[in-house]
Amino acid sequence: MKPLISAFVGAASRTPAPLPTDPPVRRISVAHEARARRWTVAGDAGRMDLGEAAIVTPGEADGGPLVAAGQRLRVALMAGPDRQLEQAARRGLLAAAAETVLVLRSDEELSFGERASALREAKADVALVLAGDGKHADGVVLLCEAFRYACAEQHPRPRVVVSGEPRAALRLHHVLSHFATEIVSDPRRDDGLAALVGHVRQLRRGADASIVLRDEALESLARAIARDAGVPAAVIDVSGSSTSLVRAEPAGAIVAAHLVPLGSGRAADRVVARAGLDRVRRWIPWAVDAPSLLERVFNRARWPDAVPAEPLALALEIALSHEAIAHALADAAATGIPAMRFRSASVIVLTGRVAELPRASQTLLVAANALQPTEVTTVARDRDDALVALGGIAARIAAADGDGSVAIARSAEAHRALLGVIVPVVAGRRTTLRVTLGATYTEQIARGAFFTLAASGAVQVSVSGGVSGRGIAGPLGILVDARGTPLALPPRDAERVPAVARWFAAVDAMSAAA
Amino acid sequence: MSWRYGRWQVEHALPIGVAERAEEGKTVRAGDIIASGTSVGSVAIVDGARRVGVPASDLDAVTRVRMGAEVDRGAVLARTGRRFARAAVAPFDGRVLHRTAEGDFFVAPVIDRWVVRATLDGVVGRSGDAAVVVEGDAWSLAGLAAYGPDAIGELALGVDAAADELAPARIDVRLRERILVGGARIAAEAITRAHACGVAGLVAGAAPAGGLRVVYGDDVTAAGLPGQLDRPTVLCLVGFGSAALPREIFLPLAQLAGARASIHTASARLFVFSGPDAAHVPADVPALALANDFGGVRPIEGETEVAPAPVRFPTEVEVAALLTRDGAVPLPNVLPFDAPR
Repeated sequence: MKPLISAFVGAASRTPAPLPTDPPVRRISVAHEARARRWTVAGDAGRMDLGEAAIVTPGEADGGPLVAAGQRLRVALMAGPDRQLEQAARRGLLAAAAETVLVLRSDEELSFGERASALREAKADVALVLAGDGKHADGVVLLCEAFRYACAEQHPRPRVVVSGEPRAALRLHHVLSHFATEIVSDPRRDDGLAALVGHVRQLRRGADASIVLRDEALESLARAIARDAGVPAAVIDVSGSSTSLVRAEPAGAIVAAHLVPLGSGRAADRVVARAGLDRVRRWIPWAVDAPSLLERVFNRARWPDAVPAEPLALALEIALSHEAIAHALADAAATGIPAMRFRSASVIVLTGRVAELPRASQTLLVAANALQPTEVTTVARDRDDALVALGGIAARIAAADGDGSVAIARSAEAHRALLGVIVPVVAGRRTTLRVTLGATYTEQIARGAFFTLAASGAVQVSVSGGVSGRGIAGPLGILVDARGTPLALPPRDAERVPAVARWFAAVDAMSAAA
Repeated sequence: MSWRYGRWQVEHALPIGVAERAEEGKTVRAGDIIASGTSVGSVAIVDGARRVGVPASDLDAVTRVRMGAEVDRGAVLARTGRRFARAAVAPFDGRVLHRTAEGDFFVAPVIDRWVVRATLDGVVGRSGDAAVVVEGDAWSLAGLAAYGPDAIGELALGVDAAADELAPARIDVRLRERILVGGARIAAEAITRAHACGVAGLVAGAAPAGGLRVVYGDDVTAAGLPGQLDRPTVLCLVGFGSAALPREIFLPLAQLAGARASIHTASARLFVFSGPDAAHVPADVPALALANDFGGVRPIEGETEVAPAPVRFPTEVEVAALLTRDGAVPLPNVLPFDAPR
């Protein structure tokens, strides 16, 4: 029987693409922080399916592709005053999961010594120089002189990637002759952006041919889901040390932001360093003193693959996921990708640690709070990294010029655990929710309402004066969210804690022990 | 991460503005100056090749100062010609910091001086403007994270037992220039008091993360914060919050007390300079367990066994577990002492 999620959206563009003649992948592993989950793969290149899964150590993961983060790539960005060019480059770095550790601009009031010190301390693996057009070349040359002074004796010596007009690039080439330098085209153009992303990913992959980068796998997965569903789909991934947002269109276009290091495990401390402890703490549905919470964050950050066995540890992981997604959205917005692109997807699939939370409702709550969908959205989550593994297979097939989306489509549906449908409501004085599920039901919605309606299967939802759409309700039914956007949390504990606890209770996301 | 006597290699990162550094092959002791330099203010760009009328590639032949040299105002940096000389001169007292690809000189006033000291007895293996690497033999204990500048001093015990917290009252000026061993925890009060009393560094099982924030600022992370600024030096060996050191780790610390030691904060490592027979290190070190609420780390002592079936914890997580005398611990939350973290 055809799973519902495809049944209602119909077949979009399913032109079969040529398949690779290579033998299909027989085994694939998904790396965690210290271990990996290895899946056996059945089927052929036309239709891949997953068999058994086992937790293995990285050494035991040999024998097939490994979906992993790749090498951490620290990038120092040196730019002229052209903000559009800088924004495009940052979008490329975000799409390629590079870590931008330093941004120096030629029009900033910094001395040569300050620039050189910052570059020395950044310990960048790659310097991306945005020369722009020739009129800004003098300022960029001074930046590059500071870079040469600071990093010429760095060990290993950083690589340099230059983007700019030929005349400006030639001038820089003279300054940067100590370094291995490559030139890429303007990242404001699609081909330039793709070239930058491809180049950075190649550096992250290093010499290990067995690696499928996690971000590539997620993009392939999103593409497969969107193509199969025929609607825009988003994959939201929060792993131990990375947070990814991917939106795919049915035709295959991708918008992605992969933040490294930012996650709910090894990079938990980085979330706190970026967001502040109070912003993480505000998502915990009871009062917690800040110093003891910080201790837990630090211990988690230095304990690979730790399992939360007490409610406070679990609440911390949920809170970190909230902030990681919020910051990923903010970073994407800063590079010109509006948060709306991810929020308006019709299907959202969560993967990584956020998909491994013990209760499905906890994952749904993170999606509702942190992502705040703006359309009627079907929410599903990964099971045991199966979807990431399938994404890895699709990426591997795509790398061999095949069509991975078709190969994994059926299997991806089978391994997707449906959660429910989120219905965002901008409640007015007389807002009515109409749900068609065989029969039609209506419900009055008050401002601030946040509750679930029991439902199962394909549903048609419409809100008077608001959104309407179709979705597939899973075991959690329909989550009606009339809290408003952006979600405002009271600053004081006395008001915030009951509000957050009420939201947890509304979806039954709080364990009895808490 | 447990104790080992052996040959180690330590890289000492240098700030910009190196004036002098130890040559490769030079023998150094921990605490010796291996590099010195200056912090500089705003640079002045002095026309070089264009001023003296030579191509940038030929400027070396007419340059009169070496890069990094300190010069007085009016000093000739480069010069051509005899009767009708063309010269580039320093505009003020300072340092010739850099020569650009286009043949200009960057001259900057000196505003401060810095030195970098070796943290290992040994031989300089690699020496460059960015780092000096020293190789040598020592006892070493790897920690989890270190904060502050490198520290060199005599190792001294600050607690009587591995599970004790370092009490601020036990710290006074008599411990000046010592590396003080705490037990399970060193609170912010002890860290700041130790710094005020001139204690070189602190080593303990754990330090409270909140306390580290108080001392080092809000951008501190679990990865450590090495630096050159005059701040306390803290080495956390096991975790954050409170973490009793296993007896097998604490006893060698006691045996090595009185020896010269150093903390290299970039690698979060304690070095003790004593003979290979100076301490007896037990072969087996107990595994560590992360508290179920992530609040601390403890060594696992007593009888343990793996639960025959996955255990369901209060968070509803079902996972393989180790049964200890203090209760069940998820198996992923148990790691060998020296597991990479």
